[in-house]
Amino acid sequence: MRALLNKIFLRKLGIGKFTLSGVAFLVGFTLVLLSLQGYFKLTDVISPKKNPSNYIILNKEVGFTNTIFGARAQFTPDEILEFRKQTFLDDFGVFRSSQFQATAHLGGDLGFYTELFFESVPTQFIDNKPATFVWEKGDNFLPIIISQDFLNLYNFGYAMGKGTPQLSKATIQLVPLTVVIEGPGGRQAFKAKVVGFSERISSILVPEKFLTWANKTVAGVDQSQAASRVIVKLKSDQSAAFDDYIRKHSLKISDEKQKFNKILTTINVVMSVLVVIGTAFMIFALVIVMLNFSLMVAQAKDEVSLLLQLGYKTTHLVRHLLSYLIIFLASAVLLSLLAFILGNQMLVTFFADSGMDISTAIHGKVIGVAVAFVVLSFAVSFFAITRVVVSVNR
Amino acid sequence: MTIEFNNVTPAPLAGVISSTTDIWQCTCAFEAAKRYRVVAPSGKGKSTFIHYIYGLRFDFTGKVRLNGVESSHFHANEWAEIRQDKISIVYQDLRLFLQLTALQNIQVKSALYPGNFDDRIHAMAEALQVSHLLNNKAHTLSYGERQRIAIIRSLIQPFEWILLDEPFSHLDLENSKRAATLIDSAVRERNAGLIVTSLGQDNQFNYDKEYQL
Repeated sequence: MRALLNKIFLRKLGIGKFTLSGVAFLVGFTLVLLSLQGYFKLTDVISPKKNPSNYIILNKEVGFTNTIFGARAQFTPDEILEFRKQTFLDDFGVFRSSQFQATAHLGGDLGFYTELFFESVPTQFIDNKPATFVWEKGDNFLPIIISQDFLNLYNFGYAMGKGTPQLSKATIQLVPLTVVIEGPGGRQAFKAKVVGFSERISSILVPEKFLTWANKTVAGVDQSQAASRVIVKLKSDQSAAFDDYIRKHSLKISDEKQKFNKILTTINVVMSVLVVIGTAFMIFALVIVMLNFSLMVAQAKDEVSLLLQLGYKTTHLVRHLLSYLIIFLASAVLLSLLAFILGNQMLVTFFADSGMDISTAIHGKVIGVAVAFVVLSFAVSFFAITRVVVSVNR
Repeated sequence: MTIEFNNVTPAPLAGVISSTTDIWQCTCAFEAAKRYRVVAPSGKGKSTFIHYIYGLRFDFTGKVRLNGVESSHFHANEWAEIRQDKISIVYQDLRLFLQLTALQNIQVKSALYPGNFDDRIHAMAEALQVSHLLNNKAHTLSYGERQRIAIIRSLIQPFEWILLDEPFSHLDLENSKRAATLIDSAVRERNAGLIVTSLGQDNQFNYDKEYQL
């Protein structure tokens, strides 16, 4: 019976039209999945959610008097002691900054040279802290953690504009550096490497032990209890008390992160456009599938009608036509997935070339959208088929 | 199965129904296993009458009842069952799939039932002298040849009634006789009823009753 029904319908439905709409579906579906995958992966890289907002970096407001009188905007030891005691805090740490001259040289004779500064915070505040981030007196190797934002800023701001190569985390970690520190207490050189990237702290971090030692012996400054910046961990439901406190003491939440993010806005806009285009494609693909099947079944109206007159049941014919739909969708979806996996590989390679480490793992939301889209296409076509067959019967 | 018409007026014929009709706007019954001839000139609603019984059209006032149940009350699936087991039909316009072969046209029907119908199909084709045409596409056949294929298709299935809408309109006398013999034996075999519409000339069956439309 199947063979006979195939003879009746397939000629009427037309393999050519089937193939054409299959290709449209394939292209649309693959593009949707790829743009979503790219969007989600890039969003993961650019704006990680690992930075829980209960970590907050604070500094004192820098005002006119600071500039005129050279008064430093910093926390006094008393202020620190008082702040530390507040009950809305889970943890409290101060930033120490380098009091000596520091320069970094690129290993070899490449001639890269830059002045820099260091800061340190208690280790429990550092996210993504690698095990190598330790320093003991006498060590010649200095591990450094830089801000993820610096890397993003370089890759998406500087390198894109200047045409210099973009750098991945892995590449940067391979670069050997020589750090020279200099002060009244003498001059010392260290081998150094970037060992990690912090998403929470926008600074150049070295181990606290190193900074205390270097400030004391090289800069000749005994570690003062004053600090320019502090980092606090807030208890989860205490933000009201905290807001109150910083207003009273005219403290300022460090918004460096937000500044960096402004540069990344451009990239976000580009990605959003990609998603809009992808969504448009998705809707088109859906409309194509729906129209295509309605049209095909409508063209086979006479055949459906005659079969019903011969005693065939509506359910039987719907099931038969549905089997075409299933074969059609299944093969289109399979081919799309194949194209998607290939495209994803290319995407990963492209991102890696642009200095971003992303995995080939398919994003969960992409799988969700894919499933939802297939189910929706199926449902829409199912209703189109049923509607035509039932309308013929009346 | 009894078929009853109760005060039926087809919408297209409202106002032009002749006074001589025994069916429209009358009460008439077709009793199981009896043979009826419905005679009328063209345009009096012969096909309409057949389609009302077969559940293809419902554009009438009044009641058509199959075994006491109003025809408009049957669901699509119940109609499918009626058409599979209770009522068979030869349409006036035959209604074959023109792109299929003659044999495939018959098989579209026989595929609805379990078992192998090859022998029966060939025997009937033999009887109607269309064996050599079975593997030809329906659109290559003459109208008379198609008419015989449609008759074979209608005789494949079980039925309590067979509706023949001017079944011999394109057959010569010899072929009409052969077809009538075949139909007659199938009806006997099933102890079924028969309704034939005609313009008036045919007298191929021993009718129990004749109605005017």
